[in-house]
Amino acid sequence: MRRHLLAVLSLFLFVTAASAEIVFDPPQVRENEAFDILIRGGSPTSPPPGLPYLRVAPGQITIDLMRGSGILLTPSWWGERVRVDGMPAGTYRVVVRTVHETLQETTLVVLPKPFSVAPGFGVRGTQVLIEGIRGCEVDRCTPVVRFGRREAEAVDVTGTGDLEVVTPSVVGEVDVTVTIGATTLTLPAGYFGMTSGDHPGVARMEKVLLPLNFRGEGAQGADWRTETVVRNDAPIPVPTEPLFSFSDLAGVTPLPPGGHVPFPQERVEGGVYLFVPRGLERFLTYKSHILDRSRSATDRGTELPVVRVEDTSPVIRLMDVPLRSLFRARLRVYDFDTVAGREVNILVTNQEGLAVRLSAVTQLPSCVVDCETYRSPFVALDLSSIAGLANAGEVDITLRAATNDARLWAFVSVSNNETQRVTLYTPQHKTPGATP
Amino acid sequence: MKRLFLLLFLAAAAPSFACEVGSFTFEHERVYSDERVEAVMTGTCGSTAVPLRPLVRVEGTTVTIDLADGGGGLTIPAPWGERVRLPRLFPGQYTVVVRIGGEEKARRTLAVHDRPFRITPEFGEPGQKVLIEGIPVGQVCPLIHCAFFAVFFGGVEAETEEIGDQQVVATVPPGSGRVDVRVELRFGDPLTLPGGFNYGMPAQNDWERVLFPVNFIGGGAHGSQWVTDSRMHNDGVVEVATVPNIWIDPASPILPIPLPFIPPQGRARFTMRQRDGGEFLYVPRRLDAPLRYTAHIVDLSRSTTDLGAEMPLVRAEDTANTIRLLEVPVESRYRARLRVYDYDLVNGREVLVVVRTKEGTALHTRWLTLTVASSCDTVSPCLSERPAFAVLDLDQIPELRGAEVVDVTLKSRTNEGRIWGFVSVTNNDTQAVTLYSPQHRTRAQ
Repeated sequence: MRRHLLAVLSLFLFVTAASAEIVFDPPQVRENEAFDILIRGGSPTSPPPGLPYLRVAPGQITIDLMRGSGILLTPSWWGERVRVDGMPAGTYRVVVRTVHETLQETTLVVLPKPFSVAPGFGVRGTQVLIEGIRGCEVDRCTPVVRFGRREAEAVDVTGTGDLEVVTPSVVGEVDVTVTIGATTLTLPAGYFGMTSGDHPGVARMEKVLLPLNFRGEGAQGADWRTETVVRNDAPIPVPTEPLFSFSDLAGVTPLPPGGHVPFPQERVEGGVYLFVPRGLERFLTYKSHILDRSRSATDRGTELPVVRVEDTSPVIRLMDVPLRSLFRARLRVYDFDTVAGREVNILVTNQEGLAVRLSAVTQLPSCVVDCETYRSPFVALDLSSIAGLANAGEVDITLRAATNDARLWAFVSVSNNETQRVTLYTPQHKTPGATP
Repeated sequence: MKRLFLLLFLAAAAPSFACEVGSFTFEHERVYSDERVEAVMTGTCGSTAVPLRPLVRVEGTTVTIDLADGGGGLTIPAPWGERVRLPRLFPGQYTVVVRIGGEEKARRTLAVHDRPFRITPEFGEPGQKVLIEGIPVGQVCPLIHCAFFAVFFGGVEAETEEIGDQQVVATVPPGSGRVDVRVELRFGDPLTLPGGFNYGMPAQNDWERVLFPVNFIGGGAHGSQWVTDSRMHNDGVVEVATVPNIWIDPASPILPIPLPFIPPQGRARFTMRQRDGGEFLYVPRRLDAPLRYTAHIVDLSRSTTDLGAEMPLVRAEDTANTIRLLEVPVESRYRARLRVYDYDLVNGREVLVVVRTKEGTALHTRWLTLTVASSCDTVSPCLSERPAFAVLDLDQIPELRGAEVVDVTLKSRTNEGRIWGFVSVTNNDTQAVTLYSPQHRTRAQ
């Protein structure tokens, strides 16, 4: 009780100061790379502001928020996530405002990126790929690559003029320079850092969500398998987290070039993340299928999508999901931001006027190793067993996070009780992060 | 032999030139500073290999698209193409230069406009409702309810319904041609979007399109009876115009005639056809966002309760010039059918198909030509209902016999191509369909 009172008081104090918090995601913003601006605040007496509108101008980024109308009896937190589809390098004043006031302003530095290096971390001897330089495509050239003051241990020019480089031993964050003839290009510090071991953590990585990697028994005697395979089409090894490629000599290793590796299955429901160094995920190819082996040895199952940040949204809309006694319909909701305890409001409607409101809270699944890193907070609802929804026919489902900075993804698996065949209902609508 | 003569003739006739730019366009005719635009270049190379790896740099008001020289070695002319996403550009007049191997090959002027607010859709007829968003809130505004405003289309005031501080639904007043849209605020200066609304015939790029890869109804192999169930619902606040017409007013007392729009909260079923190859749905730009969809393909010959397999919908961001599919089963107990689509209404797009083992050994390589029966080369806007398309039955390829699973790579001959493809694997006994669709990142920055 006292804790709640303190929270409410702190919220009032927070809002009296008429401020909001601004966070950049990822924290280091690079020239012409998409990034998010997160805005979070509290709203004690009126519904929170929303519907952000982005304006950009040289040196200035402005986000206008529409104020909420009406009166709110209980204070609430609010959040918005605004996608910025790349900016030129430079320094920007970022202003968040409503019709009444400027909520917050801050400064954003967008780092120049004359070329790219990936992965952006390593130890001595790590192979990295440098792209975006000119001069080595046709003519033979001998580029000199330095990490800080140390020259790379080896530099190979690929057939398309990119550079495969073996890193020297340096310490900490360093700039990277490429010299071809009289021209030197410099990537400032912040793009590459030496790590002390093979596991750099996930800060320099982007992630994909594999919605299922389950193996185990299910209802009606089902024997579920998830067959997920990842192939590396990059010319260099790709160090993923977790590492799941095995070599007899070296144990777990980065995905080798051309490597074709099954992703491990577990007896844990919920999504699992695969972390890939920024800039290298585009070289990976996936396939993922869920299948029941209890009824058929030849069934190839149902394809599962691989989920990236641009597939997520604070509002997920699913359409015409059948809720009938013939089927088991299970709704799975994922939080892409590893925020356990995220509240999700669910509205289930049909054309006959049904409107059922549900709420769910995401949680980390119970597992053994590094759940907070590798597992998506998750909640599953058996829609078929919820009073009021049994035999509701074809329903539309709208999921809405309590705050708009959330990045949700969700789907319904509908299993035929006789055949165990699974049909998915995934979000097919456009999501805010999707850019052409 | 005949082919050899043709090649020799072409080689002899080939002018001695490196790569040239034949066509250089921007994806949108009207470019605003709040969005990034794509430049599309195509051309021919005579005596050198096709250019490589475009890099873009902006210096002042000059944007340079710098392509690397592909080097020598080509003896017959070959087409090339690139699609380059330009960096964000602030309002102004720019010169966009294309260089190949350091030599300037083409240049165009690009005007980037400021957009003080956004109007959706940007075209239509009098009486239609449009959404206006982003009216600035930073004006001097001391009152509680101060964002009162009026909206004018070419000087004629529109009826409006305010949704919030920054949003209003306006009913388009009578008018013609392309007109300015002006928003007058009670406090602060009026805002004008020059040429912001177009009465009448929209341009090609005023539409965006969603590809339904399969909308087939009819009989198939082994007595199968296929039905594709594709539906959509408008969650927005304005009606969404569509091509083709698909919404039928459930309250209409007269014949069920499909109408050319989906009203707010309206539901529509997408057309099914007795042909393979998919079909486009066109909606005005930015009005794909409020639509929710569902699409499934199912065989009703074996089970009346099966719900089938979900079909993904394909947008521009799902396409790429290279598509990679992994571990597709080609055993004899399945029918494995590869379908390849061109997103750009190009009839005759050539796509290289390479089928490999898991270990990387190439088993089969061939060119596919994507074709479409109906073409509208001389009509603008070209809202072709069907994409150029090709199929390849992997299970019928002799070189793949004995293989269990294969990897498939599709590569557009020229890099500006936007293709998509998938394999449907159908169990001959159960007719259960499993999809193998692209799961790799497609159009990364």
